[in-house]
Amino acid sequence: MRARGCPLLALALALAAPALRAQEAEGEEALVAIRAGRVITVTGEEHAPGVVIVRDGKVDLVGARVEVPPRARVIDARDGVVMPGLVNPRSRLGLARYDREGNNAHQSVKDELLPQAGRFRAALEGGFVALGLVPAGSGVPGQAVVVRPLDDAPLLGPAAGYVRARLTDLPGDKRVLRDAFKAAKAAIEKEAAARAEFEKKQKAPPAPGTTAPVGTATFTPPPIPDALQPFVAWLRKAEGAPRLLVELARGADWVHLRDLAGQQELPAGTRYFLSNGPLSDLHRVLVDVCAQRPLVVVFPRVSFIAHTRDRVHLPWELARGGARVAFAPLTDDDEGHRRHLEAAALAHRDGLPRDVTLKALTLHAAEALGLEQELGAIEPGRRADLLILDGDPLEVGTRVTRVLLGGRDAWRREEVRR
Amino acid sequence: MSGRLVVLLALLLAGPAAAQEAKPDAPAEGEKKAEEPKKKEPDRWLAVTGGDVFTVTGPVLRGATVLAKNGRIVAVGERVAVPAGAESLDARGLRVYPGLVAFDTVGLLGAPPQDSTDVFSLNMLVALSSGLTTVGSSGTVGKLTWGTLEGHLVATDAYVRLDVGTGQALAQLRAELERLRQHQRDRRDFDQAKARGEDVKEPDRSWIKGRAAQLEQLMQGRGRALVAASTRAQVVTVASLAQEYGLKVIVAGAEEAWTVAPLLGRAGAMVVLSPHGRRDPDPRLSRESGWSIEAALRLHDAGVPVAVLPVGRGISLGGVGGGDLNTLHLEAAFAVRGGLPEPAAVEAITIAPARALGVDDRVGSIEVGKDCDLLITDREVLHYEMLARWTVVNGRVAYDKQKEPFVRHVRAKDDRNEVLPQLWPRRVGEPEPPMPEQERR
Repeated sequence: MRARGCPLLALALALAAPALRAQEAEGEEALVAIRAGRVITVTGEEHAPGVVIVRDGKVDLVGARVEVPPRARVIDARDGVVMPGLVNPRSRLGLARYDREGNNAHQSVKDELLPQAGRFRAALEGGFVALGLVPAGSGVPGQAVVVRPLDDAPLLGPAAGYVRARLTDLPGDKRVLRDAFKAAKAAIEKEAAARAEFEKKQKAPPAPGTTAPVGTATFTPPPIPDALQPFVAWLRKAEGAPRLLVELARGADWVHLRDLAGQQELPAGTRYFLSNGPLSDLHRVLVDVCAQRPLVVVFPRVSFIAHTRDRVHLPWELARGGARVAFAPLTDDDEGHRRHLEAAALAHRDGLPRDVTLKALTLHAAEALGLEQELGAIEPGRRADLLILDGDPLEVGTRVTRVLLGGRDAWRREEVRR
Repeated sequence: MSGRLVVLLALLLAGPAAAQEAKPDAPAEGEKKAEEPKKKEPDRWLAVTGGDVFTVTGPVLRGATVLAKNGRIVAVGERVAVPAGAESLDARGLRVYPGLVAFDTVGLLGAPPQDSTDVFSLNMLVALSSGLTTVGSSGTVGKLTWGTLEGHLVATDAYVRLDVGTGQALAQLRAELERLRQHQRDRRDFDQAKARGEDVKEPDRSWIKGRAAQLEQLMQGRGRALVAASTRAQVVTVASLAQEYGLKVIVAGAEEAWTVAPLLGRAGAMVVLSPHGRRDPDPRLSRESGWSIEAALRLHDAGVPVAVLPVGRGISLGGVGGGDLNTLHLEAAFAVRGGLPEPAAVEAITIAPARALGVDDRVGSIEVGKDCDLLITDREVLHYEMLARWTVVNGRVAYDKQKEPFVRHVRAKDDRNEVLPQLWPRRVGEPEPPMPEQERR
């Protein structure tokens, strides 16, 4: 027990722990009711006070006048605020460093995941309920997956995640993307040619003397390298093709991406990660970016225009232009995850509207990972991944006191606020 | 000089004529294009109206208009009708020059430019603010297309490098050229013999590839050779090579070239030099040696086209004016200090480097048919306070001073009639003039 200076609390918690575990053992059937001082649903209206009913790990009901079923385990947060858990759309928290070059679209970060105790503790403390872990390297490093911030890093949804591509190191990255699309196009043409050849052979009458079995031969397309599979799917505009997220650091990277897109159409719904540093020049391409109404992952930060005292609130400008903004922590380490809510609160203080800020933390971050139907809001049918805070989330100084994953306690702040 | 006169006359005649042509045509054409369903993008018009247009290869047209369509100049003149919907820049009270051209630069173009240039770099912004629009970089020529890659790359392999720096390199070059010349002679003999009907073996051409093919092209008068030569001996060698083998050479560095200027003039060479060059004269010699501030003048007088390049090839805001690429115009002004006529100094940073890079068909002067690359400024181009008000690249406003936080505080009021205090030139002993009242925060 951590509460060193408080033996009474330690005793209370020690007694309470077996009781909690017993309740969890009852199974998924168990109903949980959360009474909150305020419920921030993100997509709907706020309820103050409000009640959230969780059944089978999913939100069943939410509202101001909801009756608490008698069987339900009640979590009393009447002095707190309940909101959906935070989502990190792009992270390498707790993963080893390495460099990968070229097109590795078939590689997945899944292969890097090993159980490790306490690895995601800071993320939980910061209020994260899902992390999009990305592979490292240049060009197309591979596929990102979504994990729970728990020690054994369980995957969340097999279809979640995206293929990460980078266009920050020119001309190398641009060449990798262009070559991959070119190779995929060649593979498609090769397959079409092989199919035509096969059909021609099938139609041709069998040579006299040989008795060719009719209709038994099946066409086996020439194999396509694994690394080209996503590119082939994008070119074919196939259903269920993976999502693409392109990382950009400078305004010029965007211009080069558009140059590439002029030569080769990018898949619909491509997401962008605009890595807006303190002296970012990404505001130069704002109009062009917003014209696409894309989903954009950015840092919650106000940048200076280099060598001047003029400032640009890139997230705000993007939101005003009609882009859907998602936030990634300012630094991809423990501290960045712990202070993510605070960074967003500061962005809000600098002018970012409340609903945009809340969605950037939750709903749009989930959308970046393709989980916009499951996470990011408190709505019936969504996962009950909730935070209990000791104040308004967009006030600097508010802390996460409790994290619930599927209605179950995943983390609880053990110290009591004075 | 006579050639220049002819060009001038031709332009004098052509300028107003072109203006008259464009007058009825331009709007009608715009309407016609709009009706065509095939063409997706409408024509891009840009009109720079009412400025004093310094065409460089032709006359100065006071209060004239430059009209560009899709990045090309279609009319220059005093009575040019501007089509409705054209983007327009009011240049009344301003001077319009062709965009400046730098022969060789560092830090502006990527390698390769179309795949890696940072089109929003601070370097590019500063270069545009000092009027540069076309730059070379190790033989690749690119435009400073701010925020776009359209029309960014102009040319590659603008010249072939030749090395005469060491005796060994020179001997090798001579051997290569001599072998090619022998091949030319053999070829001529073969052709003659064949014409006579004799049965002769064709000379082997298989070895002429790569470097040899480049040299052969040079000997045939196609393409240009860039030779770094600073001492008199090297310059004389280059001049003799050029004459002997019929090469078009660009002499770079050329610190002692002024001492043998007539020789270079006869060889038809071009010179790229920095008027800020430094090379001390050799006191043991009775002849002229070392560097002279009059170098550009002496070469110009001998009929050698001079292109000016600063000592520093990159953008730097920490150096002395004229030392770096962002003050290219000051470098040319320094040649004027050495006696070079002002028009020649303006040519040295516009059409002369464009010719040296082989892109003078597109940039370097304001002429109908050329790319619309303009420097629009409230000062003479060689003035030390020169700062672009607008810079136009490929018919697009690439730089607008009032919109750039980096420079907009300079002459912030944009008042063209403002009389600036004469702070310069000031001579030693004169009382210091009172500083202008500045808005202080």
